[in-house]
Amino acid sequence: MNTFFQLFISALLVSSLYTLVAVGFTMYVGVINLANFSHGDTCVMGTFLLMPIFLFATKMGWLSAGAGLLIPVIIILVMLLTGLWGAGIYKILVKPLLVAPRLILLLASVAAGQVIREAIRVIYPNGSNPQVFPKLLPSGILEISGLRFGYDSLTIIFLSVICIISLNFIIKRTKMGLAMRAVSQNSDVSQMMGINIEKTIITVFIIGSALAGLAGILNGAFYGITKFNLGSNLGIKGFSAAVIGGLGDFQGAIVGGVLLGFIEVFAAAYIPNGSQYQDVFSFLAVIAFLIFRPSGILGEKIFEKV
Amino acid sequence: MVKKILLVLITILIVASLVGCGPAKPAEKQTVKIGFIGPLSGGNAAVGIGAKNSFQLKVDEVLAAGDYPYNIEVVYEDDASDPATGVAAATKIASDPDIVAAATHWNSPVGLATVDIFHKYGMAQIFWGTIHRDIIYGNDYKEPVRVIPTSEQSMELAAEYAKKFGIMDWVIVNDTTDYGTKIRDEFTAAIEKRGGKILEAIGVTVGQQDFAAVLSRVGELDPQGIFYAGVTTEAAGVRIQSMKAGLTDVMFMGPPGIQSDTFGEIVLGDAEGTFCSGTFDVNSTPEGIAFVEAYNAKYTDPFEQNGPYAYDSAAIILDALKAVGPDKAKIVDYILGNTFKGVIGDIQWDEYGQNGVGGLTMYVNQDQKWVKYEDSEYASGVRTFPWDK
Repeated sequence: MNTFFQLFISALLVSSLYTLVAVGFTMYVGVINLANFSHGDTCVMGTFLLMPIFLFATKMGWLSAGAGLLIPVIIILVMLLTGLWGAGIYKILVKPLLVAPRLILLLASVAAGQVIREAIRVIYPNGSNPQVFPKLLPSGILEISGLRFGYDSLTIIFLSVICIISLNFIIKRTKMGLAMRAVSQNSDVSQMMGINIEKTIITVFIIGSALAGLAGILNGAFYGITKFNLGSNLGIKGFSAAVIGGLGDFQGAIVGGVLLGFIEVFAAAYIPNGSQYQDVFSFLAVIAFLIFRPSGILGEKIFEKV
Repeated sequence: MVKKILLVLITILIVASLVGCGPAKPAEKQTVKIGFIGPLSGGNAAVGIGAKNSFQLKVDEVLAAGDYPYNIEVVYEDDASDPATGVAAATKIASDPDIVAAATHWNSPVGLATVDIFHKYGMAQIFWGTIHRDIIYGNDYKEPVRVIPTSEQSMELAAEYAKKFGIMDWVIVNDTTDYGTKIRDEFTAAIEKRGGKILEAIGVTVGQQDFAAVLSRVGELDPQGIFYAGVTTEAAGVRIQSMKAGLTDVMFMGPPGIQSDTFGEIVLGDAEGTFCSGTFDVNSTPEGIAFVEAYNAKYTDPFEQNGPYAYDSAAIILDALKAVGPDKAKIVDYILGNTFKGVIGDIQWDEYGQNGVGGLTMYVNQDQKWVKYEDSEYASGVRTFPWDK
């Protein structure tokens, strides 16, 4: 039973990271029917933005004085930077191509991801190599009745839940959230009703990219390493989670992220030799959903979204 | 008039003969190209760059001595630890008529992919880093030789130390590459030969980050030791997460593939007391110490575990070139037919081209650095292992 609960916590951790990525994916699909394949690379960009800032703060001696306060400040700063990147992507890449077929926009987003990867390799010192990521999260183990909970895992799960609840609040209870939902349902009617479409879409890109930056940072901080090409895997997993949950559906992305994390961890644990095929199980689940329930678990109008 | 002309001609002849009597202008040395291939980018670039620098160091030292009969130009190619990239790099080097021999590769899958290419072009190929047995023993080619010990020799050492510490029940976590599976099989054979037991071998993929499911299974099996058969990045992940999973009193060991300082940099304090059945301890011989001093005077990047082997590979190629000239076939025969003295000791091939010993060493991680076990504070009793009760 102990093993089951340990695996449950591990699955929650993986699910949290996937959900943070999936939410961004699904929001883009919701407002402009775009599967933004540079989203995973935005996660990695967050890690490569954080490392020089962290190094600078360490050299200046700021971290030794008040690490507890400064680390969240640095993380928020990086989220702002990745959010700005998201706004830039919209302005420079997405907006001019909004009238083009969605396939063109999708290819453009793939290219944007490639630009991020190559920029890291060229600009960052030894950018082609794996980088040791700073230990940002609290270390230590909380042991209850033989169950071991890493403070870092708990922090990641907690932060993800806070982000999801906050985002849910924004979407359900604020004027901007109302605008997002309206644009998601029908942008033409929303515009006629006086909603500023561009402002709404930019906000979605800022929020999605900021969450991607956070996901990348948490991923790097937990596993202790980051790589320029890590985004491909994160992006594909986030996209898969969004597909499972129902592309374009916010709650669906959460459900999809959680389900994907649990499939991966439990398949690896309980299927013989499962660990070396855990990605296979994830993608089999995606294929199964695409065949038997293409709208995802909570989605309804998949054919209009993609 | 005729007298004047004769006078001028005679003067010219005298001056010309005087000039001719002066010191002879040294003949222009022929430039010969040699090749080096290694992972100069990607996850293992640190190892590749350390080996590249060591290779160049030997070339520079030989040329600086002044009496070498050729100018040497080294052509460097990157295999990025990727067999496909390695094949392209090997084809480029081996098919170049101006290149006479090459030192190649750190990754066994890359070496397995390129050994046929060098054979096809009849070029001497010295392996400075790959340890998969079949690279040398899986064919009857005379072009490939290897200065570094085989994985089989390395796993014998690993099992010998495991027995010494009385750690006989193991779980192997291996990556699913040729290297990982070969190490898994060889460690299994070596430990079982000594009466030990492999409780289970669990495969993981290169690039995998989360090992929670694997380690929960390891916890159920309750082994005395975890052997990670793979390379540094994933080994670091397994070690960090095994400690988080509570496997704190289990011996952790890996093959030469984890013998990089990066392991300690990633794992930090949890690296303490882990083992690596590694390669030559450079501080164990005067030649090795001299190599370290010369290297550090010139480069800031560490030479990593394979630097001495790359350095000796350059020495062998240059020695052969000096002896038989820039003839690829003669260089192949000369290398295989002779013994050499390197910083790693005497280099002597068996009938397949494998160096006999090559300085195998057991390392323990102490303060995030790999230290020869016998020189460590663990051996002296200052520190103790959590599993040594």
